[in-house]
Amino acid sequence: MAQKAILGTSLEGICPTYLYKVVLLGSTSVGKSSLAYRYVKNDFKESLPTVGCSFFTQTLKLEVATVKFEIWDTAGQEKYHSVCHLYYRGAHAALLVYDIANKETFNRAKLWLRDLEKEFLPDEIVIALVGNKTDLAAEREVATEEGEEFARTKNLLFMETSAKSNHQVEDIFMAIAQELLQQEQKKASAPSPHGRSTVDLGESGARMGCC
Amino acid sequence: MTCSTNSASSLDTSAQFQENNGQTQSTRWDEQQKVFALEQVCGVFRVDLGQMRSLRLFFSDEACTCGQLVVASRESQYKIFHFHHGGLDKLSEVFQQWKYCTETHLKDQQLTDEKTCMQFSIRRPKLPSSETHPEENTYKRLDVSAWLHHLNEAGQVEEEYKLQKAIFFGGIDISIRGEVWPFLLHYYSYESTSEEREALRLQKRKEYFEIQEKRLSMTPDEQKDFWRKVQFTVDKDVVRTDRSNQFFRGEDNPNVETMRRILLNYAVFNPTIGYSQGMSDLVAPLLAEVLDESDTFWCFVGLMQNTIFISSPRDEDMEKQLMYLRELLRLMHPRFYQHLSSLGEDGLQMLFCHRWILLCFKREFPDAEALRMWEACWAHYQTDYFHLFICVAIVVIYGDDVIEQQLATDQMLLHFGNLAMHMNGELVLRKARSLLYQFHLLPRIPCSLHDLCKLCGTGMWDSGFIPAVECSGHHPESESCPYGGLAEVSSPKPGSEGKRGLKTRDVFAFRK
Repeated sequence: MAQKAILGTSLEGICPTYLYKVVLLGSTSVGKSSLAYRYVKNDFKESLPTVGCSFFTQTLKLEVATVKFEIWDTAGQEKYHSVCHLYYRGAHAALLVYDIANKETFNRAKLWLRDLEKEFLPDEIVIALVGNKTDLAAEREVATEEGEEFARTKNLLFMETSAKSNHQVEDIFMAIAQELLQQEQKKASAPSPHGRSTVDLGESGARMGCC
Repeated sequence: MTCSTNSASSLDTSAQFQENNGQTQSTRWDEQQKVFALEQVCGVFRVDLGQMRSLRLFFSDEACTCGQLVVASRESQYKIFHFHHGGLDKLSEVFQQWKYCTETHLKDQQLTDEKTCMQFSIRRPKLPSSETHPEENTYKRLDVSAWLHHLNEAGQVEEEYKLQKAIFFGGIDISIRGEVWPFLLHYYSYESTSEEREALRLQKRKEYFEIQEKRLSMTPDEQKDFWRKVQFTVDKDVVRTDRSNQFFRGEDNPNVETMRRILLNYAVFNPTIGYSQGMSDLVAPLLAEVLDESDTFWCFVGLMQNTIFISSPRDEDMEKQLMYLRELLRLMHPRFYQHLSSLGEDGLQMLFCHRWILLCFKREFPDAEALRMWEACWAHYQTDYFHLFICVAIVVIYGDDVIEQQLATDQMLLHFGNLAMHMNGELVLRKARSLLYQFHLLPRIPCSLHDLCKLCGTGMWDSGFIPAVECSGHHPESESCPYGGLAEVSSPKPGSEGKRGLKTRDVFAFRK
């Protein structure tokens, strides 16, 4: 955080900043909160079952743009879905997480996808299928190919990660950022790009001088 | 500002505060590299205070020397420094002298002209006397001798109202929680004698094991269904609930297995509720205090039945809680309510407090403070919804930034989420008691809040004064206000209900 506060002032202003809402979905205890925690804090801790919604932000500086992710995390239990009906709304991307050492969670990820398909049109949201817990390779129940294959048929991004051993966590968010930015470019010519918000960085740059 | 994040000592004396931006780019770059290296290696960090949102000092002692310094960034990231051995007062003097540290007082209702300028506020450990419940400090923690005082020779609680009041204000000493909680959770009735309670325990233990037997003798199909709906989640949750608590610590701790059995058996006992995530959070402290498996189970049954903040994420329950909370905020903290309204539907959903309500603040405060709040709620003193007064108290004490900076829905979630485990529970609880007192003094209440005292008899208005109920409209299912609330100009008219209504309702109907 501190680092960002210093570095993020003088150099920007040229490239645009995009704000994207990313939601984490998946069965209970597949590592949704841990993925968010790893990505945002670069740390791992055993976490309590998520109750309600929590929310993190992370800024990603790319050559062409700055991407600010708003990462929404919620409980994995189906009962909670209705509580967080604001959860899906306006999401630009979804991480569909399962545990590679638990076949049931993979099956449930497929159900989650069906939910998502009801809420969004195919080009409205970027969806990534994430097989988490590669550190438990010895107990693997879902083959990499199986995840890959499913992702291909459904046209999803795919990656296997480990929040615990920090494997490909940044990569999956990076892949999402790039996919989103690509879509921005495609839509740049179209008259009204959907659900996109640009933050004017001139404003926050100006803030600095006054104090 | 240079300072070690994890140390629990006072600020590094060599802390440097950069007061202007006059440095050249090159030295700045070097600095950045140096800071970056320090951050990576030893957790030292640096922030440009000009980029921060606010500095807050929370004093924890009466002399105002110890406490916490909370630095909040614009993105609602917090750094918290604990001052255990004084010095915070000196720091506050330094801040006061800084030209760009505007000290914003608690009661200062005005927006700062320049939002980007730093805010600097000081919180006192004591609420001003105008903001405390007049009976505050008249009760000590309920200890063994005080507890025995409440019991007669047969072991019956003599005056339950007195006991509830004592617990509401003073809490229960840890040593007797396991003994007193079963009363608060309606496992034991207050009228029961010691002998009757022993008999009840035996009988209930038998019942408990019958429930367990039922679970263990399911058909394979039932078992499969149960696994999918309940066990799958319970198994995953118990191993990650309260494991830092001494009682559940360590590999293969048998208490974790006990917690698991209680939750599974509960799902058999009450298949409608089954298991919802969060229930493990609620049962764990019960088991750690009550200890006996069957007794804990029945206390948990009581908790799920008799407390209104039960861990039920079902929409209609949550909606009701949120409706009451919105109405309370509208009444007691209109500025915050206005802010929520300005955000529309999304703001009024108050996502930031769902977890507060579902788990009764367990994740927002350290155990010692959270359990004090549980007891205060379980006491059902003057209201069944004391937890909502606690919600309002948190918003009153910690929500200024939200209003001043007009935080959006997601930012509010971040703001309050980051405050979890960093708030002063004692202060919040005092404020909540005082809010209840203020509510009690209101000359009229909207009919939407009439039921806040439904379950505890005459509730908070039992001391003679009864407020008028004002109909706030919106009763799609009945023609007149079911609470007998009066619209401002209309003539008095008795309430339409009366079959199952409480006495107070009739009184409400005729009062103006």
